[in-house]
Amino acid sequence: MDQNADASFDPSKNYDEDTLAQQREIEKEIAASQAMVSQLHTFDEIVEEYSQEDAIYRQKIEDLKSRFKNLRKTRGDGNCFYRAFGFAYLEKLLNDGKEYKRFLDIAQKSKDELIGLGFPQFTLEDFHDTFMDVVKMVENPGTVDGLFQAFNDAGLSDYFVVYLRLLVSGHLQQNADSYVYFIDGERSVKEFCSQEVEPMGKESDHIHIVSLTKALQIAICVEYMDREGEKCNSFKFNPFESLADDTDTAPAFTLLYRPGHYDILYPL
Amino acid sequence: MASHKSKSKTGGSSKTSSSSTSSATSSNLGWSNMSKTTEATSGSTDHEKKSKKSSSKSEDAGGSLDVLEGGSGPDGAENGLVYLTAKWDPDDFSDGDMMSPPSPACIRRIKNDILAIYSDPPPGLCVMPDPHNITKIHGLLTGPFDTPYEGGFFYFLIRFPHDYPISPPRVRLMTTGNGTVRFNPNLYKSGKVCLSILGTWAGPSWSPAQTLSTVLISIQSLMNEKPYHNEPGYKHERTQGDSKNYNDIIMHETIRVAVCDMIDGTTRTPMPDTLRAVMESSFPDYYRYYVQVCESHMHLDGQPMNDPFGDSRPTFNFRQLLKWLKSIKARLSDNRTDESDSDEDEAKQGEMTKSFEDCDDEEESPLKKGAGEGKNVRATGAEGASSTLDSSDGGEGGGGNTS
Repeated sequence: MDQNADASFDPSKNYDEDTLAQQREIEKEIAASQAMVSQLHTFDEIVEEYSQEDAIYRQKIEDLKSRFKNLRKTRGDGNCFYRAFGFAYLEKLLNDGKEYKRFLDIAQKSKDELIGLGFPQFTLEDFHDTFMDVVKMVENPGTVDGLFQAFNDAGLSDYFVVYLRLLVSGHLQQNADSYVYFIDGERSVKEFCSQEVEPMGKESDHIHIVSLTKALQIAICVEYMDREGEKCNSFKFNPFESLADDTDTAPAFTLLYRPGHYDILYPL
Repeated sequence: MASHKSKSKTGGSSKTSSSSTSSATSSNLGWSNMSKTTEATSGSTDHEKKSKKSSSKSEDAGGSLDVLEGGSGPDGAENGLVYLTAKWDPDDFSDGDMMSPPSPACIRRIKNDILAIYSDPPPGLCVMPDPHNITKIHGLLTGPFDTPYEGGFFYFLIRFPHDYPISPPRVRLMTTGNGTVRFNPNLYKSGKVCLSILGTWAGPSWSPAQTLSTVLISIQSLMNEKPYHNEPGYKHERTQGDSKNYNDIIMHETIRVAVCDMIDGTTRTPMPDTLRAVMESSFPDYYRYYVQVCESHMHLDGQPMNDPFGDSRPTFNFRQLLKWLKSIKARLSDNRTDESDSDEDEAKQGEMTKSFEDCDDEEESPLKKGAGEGKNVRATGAEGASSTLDSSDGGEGGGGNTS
């Protein structure tokens, strides 16, 4: 990127910092221009993001349009999966008191399990308390608007994301034997968690989604919008069955995956 | 963004040419006549003055960066030192999250982080919140045993951004001989600490579940037996003997800058009295070790320090360090005598003196090497910090209650 770089190589300098600095600039731009969780969008608005020549994507948006009514975007800050997951699920709980009670119970219990895994108690309690505050907004005020505001309040929204990350980390560590073969590189599950799960802004992969749905016992569906095929591929993450696709458990909500990013889909 | 990048590169090259000469040499044997009594009883006004001085000085530096780079630009050069990213500097206020007031959640977390260290102090480290600003922490790390940093006092300024713990704290090493000494491949002259969890180095990033304690322990682990190998690409010695040579340099500089200059230098880093008292009370414990290092390295005197990374360094002069150490020891024990006279008069002062007496007793007996010694330092550190905070009878506590 810079021709003089080699000529003036300074051994006391860490060139990774350039990358880090650049990354931070990008993060800043994203934070300024995108809401953490957006209002509802129509697919006509989304289709404008793609050029006329991009036939495959345009075709796929038509496919989504035939099955879904709206889309809610999340900020592309590497936490999008967790934010989309959290918002979509709590939004569903607004109309499902029975499921809410079940979830409240799991959420309460999770604190001691995580402390048992060795997370510092005072940090964990802090995140758990805020997490529960947000969850309880399902009861009070119990409106989409209330959740919308909470998820766009950095203090609440980020703490909520932190706690979901810790839940993923906790599940992976508790079931390390099942996951160790799915981790790239010569890393232990614990190392993977401290490098790819717990830090904010680390993007989520298949393994993160499987872990979160299992940790919370929530079935979800993800529509994958990539360059292959004519329609979006939908994939169910079902923690209740070992064969994810062969089950009639209704997913709690559907997310849209476009390479590197998750948004929330609302069915017709 | 590209222009920032190239600018910083240019800055990088200018650094090598204009890097500071070793003006702060060991020749300085003078010390300020500020007595320990003043130190111990001067209270917060003195401290306030000092910390203000420190922050305004660094803020100036930050300000000039803004002018250079136009606003939020994190890159810039000052005194030939390169600041590639601003986010590490505790005195940098150029970004928004330092300007807005910290949220109650943030303050709560900071307090918990500090309390966690008080209640279970990791060996060799001691922290003090700034009396005027809870988001600012003063930390003192003692160089770990069996490393070239042993016995050194490394003072750090830590600042929590206002979205802490989502973002990591910012840390600056203040013990740099006024920006002239690089103590480690990861501890720059500028005070910058290169550590992945601080976002200043490649590797595992910060996670909000980590704490102040995690950060300080990670910094401590940079100060290891063979710091030469911390430098990327130096897993194996480039020239045989480099690692040992580097250790000799670090040992010399630790005693010169992180011991003598910290306690006694004319360019004394402004720091809280409590931490200064911790240093002064630990000094006698280490004295024999310091002397032994000087005596066993005197054959190097007169030779230039050939830094394996090309840093400019002064010439070895262990003889002079020994003289300096002796004079510090004499001054500290003089002060002790002075204080002994008055300690019956004032209870508070007596408390401080008591802890010094404890240390001086220790000095008479042969220094225990290893874990026992570490415990001693840790205990002094923790008590020193807590005694001013809750004004409990810290001095008596250690040796078993007689009353």
